[in-house]
Amino acid sequence: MSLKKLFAIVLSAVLLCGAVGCLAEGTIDYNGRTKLAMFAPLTGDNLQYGVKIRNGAQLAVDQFNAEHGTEFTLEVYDDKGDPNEAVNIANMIVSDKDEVVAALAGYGSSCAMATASVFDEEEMILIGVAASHADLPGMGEYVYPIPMSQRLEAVEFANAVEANCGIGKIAIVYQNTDHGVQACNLFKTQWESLGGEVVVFESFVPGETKDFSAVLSKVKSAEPDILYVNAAYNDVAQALMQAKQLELDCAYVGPGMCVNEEFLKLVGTELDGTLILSSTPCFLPSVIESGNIDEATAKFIDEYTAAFGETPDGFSAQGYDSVNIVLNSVLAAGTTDAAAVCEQISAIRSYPGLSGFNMSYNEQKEMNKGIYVFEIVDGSFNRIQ
Amino acid sequence: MFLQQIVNGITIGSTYALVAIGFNMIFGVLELTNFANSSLYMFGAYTTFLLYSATGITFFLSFAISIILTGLLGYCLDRFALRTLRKKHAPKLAGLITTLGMSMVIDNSIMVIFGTDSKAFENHLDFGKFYIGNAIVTWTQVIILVVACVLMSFLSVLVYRTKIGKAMGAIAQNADAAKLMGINTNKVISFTFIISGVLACIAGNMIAMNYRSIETNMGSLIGTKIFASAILGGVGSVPGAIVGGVLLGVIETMVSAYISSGYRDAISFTILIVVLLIMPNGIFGKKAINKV
Amino acid sequence: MIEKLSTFLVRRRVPLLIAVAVVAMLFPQVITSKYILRIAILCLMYCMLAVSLNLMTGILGQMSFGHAAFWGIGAYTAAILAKTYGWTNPGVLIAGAVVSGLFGLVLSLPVMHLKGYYFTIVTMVFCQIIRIVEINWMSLTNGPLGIMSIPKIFIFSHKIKSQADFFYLALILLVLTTLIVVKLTNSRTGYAILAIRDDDLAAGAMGINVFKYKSMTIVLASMLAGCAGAFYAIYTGYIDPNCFTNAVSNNMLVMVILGGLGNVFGSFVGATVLTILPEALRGFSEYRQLVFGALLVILMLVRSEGLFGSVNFKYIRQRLTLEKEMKATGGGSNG
Repeated sequence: MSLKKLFAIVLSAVLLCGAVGCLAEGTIDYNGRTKLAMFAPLTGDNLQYGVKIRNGAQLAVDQFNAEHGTEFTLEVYDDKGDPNEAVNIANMIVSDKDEVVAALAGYGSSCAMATASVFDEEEMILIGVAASHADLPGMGEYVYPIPMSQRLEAVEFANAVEANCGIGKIAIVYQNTDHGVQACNLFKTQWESLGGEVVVFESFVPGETKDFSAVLSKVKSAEPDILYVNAAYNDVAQALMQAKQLELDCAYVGPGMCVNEEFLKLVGTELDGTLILSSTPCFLPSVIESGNIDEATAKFIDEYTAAFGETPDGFSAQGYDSVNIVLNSVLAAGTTDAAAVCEQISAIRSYPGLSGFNMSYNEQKEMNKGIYVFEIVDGSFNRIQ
Repeated sequence: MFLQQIVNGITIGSTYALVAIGFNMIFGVLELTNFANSSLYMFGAYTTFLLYSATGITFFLSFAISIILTGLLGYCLDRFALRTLRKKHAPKLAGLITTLGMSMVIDNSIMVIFGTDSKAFENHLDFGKFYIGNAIVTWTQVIILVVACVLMSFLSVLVYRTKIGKAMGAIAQNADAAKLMGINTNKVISFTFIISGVLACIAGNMIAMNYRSIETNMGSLIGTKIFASAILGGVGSVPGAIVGGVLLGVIETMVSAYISSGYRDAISFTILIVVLLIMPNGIFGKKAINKV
Repeated sequence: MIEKLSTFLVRRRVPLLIAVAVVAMLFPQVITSKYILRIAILCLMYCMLAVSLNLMTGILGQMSFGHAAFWGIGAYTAAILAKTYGWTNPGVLIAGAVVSGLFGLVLSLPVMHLKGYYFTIVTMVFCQIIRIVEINWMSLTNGPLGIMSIPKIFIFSHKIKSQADFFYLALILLVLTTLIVVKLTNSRTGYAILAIRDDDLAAGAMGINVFKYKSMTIVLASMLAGCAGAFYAIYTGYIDPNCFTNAVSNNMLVMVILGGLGNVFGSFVGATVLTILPEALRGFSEYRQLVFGALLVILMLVRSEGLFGSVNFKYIRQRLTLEKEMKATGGGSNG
């Protein structure tokens, strides 16, 4: 009897949900807009990131269409990672704004920030797929970043280093880019407020050299407890391996950009014991085998690998999440009207995304997430936090 | 630390020197800024990487094949582009733009084929390290310096002591007159390009082994540095390339260690300009005779 | 073909000039696509840069691989003045030019006795130095974060903000640049500069003050580039040091050489082609840069002195007048 009752309740609930679902889907007011316009580097030195982001986004669009019977499309333009070209493209995109739901700025904060005013003027949504710059959310009413805001991330990173290595003398070597400068200055402030000491704080211009021996010798003579290198994965690999060669004896810490297969191939087992801090999870087969991932992520990895013949990384996941955040918000709002969609995006709390856990926007539209700490063990990442 | 920094500087410098030798040779013979030189350097390293990882032949065999292929590419560069320009008596600038275009083609082909992520490159010259005082020196670093010196001596003999070297000198002074004297200018110039391709390939592989990785911006990374080394040492001078390269490396390291690593290149390039003001023809450069 | 085209251009120069002027005036009124207008504005700006570089490279004969440095200095000057000091008047354009000119002077003094390739490498290195300073001097340039939301300027209390406004502003600047360069080359000073290009020793022996004319030309060229930079800063509203790399310098030089050294009209063509071409090649995606490089090589092989490098418009004009006169006198004697 009670079982029957339960069954009836469940059945009616399912029917109701289905009906509501149909209703919601049936009533999306497209206003003729079905296009997502993305610009990302498909040529030049940052091509690898652009391709990953594009693939992730494409997968999300395909899956969303299949699931909801919609006909959204993704159009991708090449910006070479150059803000100047990005603005060209931004103008091209707003020229047919009657068809575009939202713009996705692929790689790097500078491209997103350079174009923010163009889109804001036309009241178009701009998603910074990989733009973690702390000032980006404030650059327009319709601008949303997907990665964790650097302001929040740097603080969490400093706390994580303290928790894992203890407080002490740290040497920071960072790349002189928008990302590096902001992340490391915030990190330094937090580290000092925790009672630590920063003994070396040196920058380098990426793409100028891959020999860090001079600055590392300097680090060595300062005798730090911790060496933190914040740069792209290849520079981190290079710097830390050279540090090993120079017999620099301390704890090594690297940033989330290192969480990919190429990094492991470069360093082999040489950097075992190094800590990697990241606000995006790890998608490598070795980590997956250890069973430290949830079902949704496993499904994503399988589908991505099947579609593109390569493993996804944090960038792919960010591309995937950006599309889903936009399209789900469109679905929830029932319209492609920018203001209504933004209301939905702003309301996102604890979003079950793939590029992090506990994804939430705060009042300033900054993305907040939990962070991951990996230790390199036997040439693979081992999640310890 | 000072001793260690000197070692670091010489290592960086010898990598510059390795690439600069070939560049300087073309510069000396043709007065041509060969932008494609750094592309050949990258091509050499990537070819070895491809052969070694894809075909399973031994490393040194892949290296040898890669040397041949890069030399061949250098030859093609001259045969199919620059020779046509010479035939038309095109202005020298056309040659420069052509090498720039060629370099874009080579760089971007590699990018499209291999992607832009860094590839691990095994170090087959890893014979450990030793200590001088408290400075650490690896044998790879020593080998690079030795190879640079050996190549320099070999080229010095080639350029200054052999018949073909004399022919190069003659072409450098006056190509038309050289032709009238019975020198097969095309052949000599092609030969120069082959040699510079071979040198670039050796340099690319040695440096890849030292840093145990290759990437698609390795050419542009070293581009300005080769020009600077060549100018510092003296344009067209083979020993000059070595001295210029090592000097530049040491200056850079010292700046980075004792002044600022962010301003490194700015300061070392300013020093370069100052040196040029004192020695307008570089350290080993011949004094140009101005004629009216 | 180019020769025929050039003759046609010279013969019909008056109606053509009027047509170009009319098209230019109407262009932003007819075209409403922001994208096309932006490309057009960039074309005008690159024309300005190419003409100024041509003054240095084609007319003075000093090849520069570092023109982007001057462009960048102008842009940063304007951006800092507008953003930090609240300048919102055309003064920023002049300030950009002046500061850039000062740097041109500083560069020209020491390199005066460096010849050919040495000068070239120094310009290349100069561009790197400037860029590294831009990246590292956080308090002045905001380093790699760049300067954002640069305020727009007012001209006669009219705020320059729409694409059409910027189009006209760029057009005016380009016309001024062209007039300055053309007037200069056709003056006594211009002949002195040309003499220096052909042989500076001989020119010096003939009593031309080589030092003075050389530094004057370099300063002028850098001022024009600086002005273009200032325009760029207020137009895009966002600059960072990556806009002003050596690759950009190389690109400008390619524009000049493609158009033909010493030929101002050629620089227009070179700049326009090289601004539109990468956009047109967008469809090639990954292969874009590759195709671009290949086209460059082919062009050099087919026409190695650049499109208009071997064309002397002045000479064609003289020839045409001569032909006309001969026809007239010939007709007279027959009649």
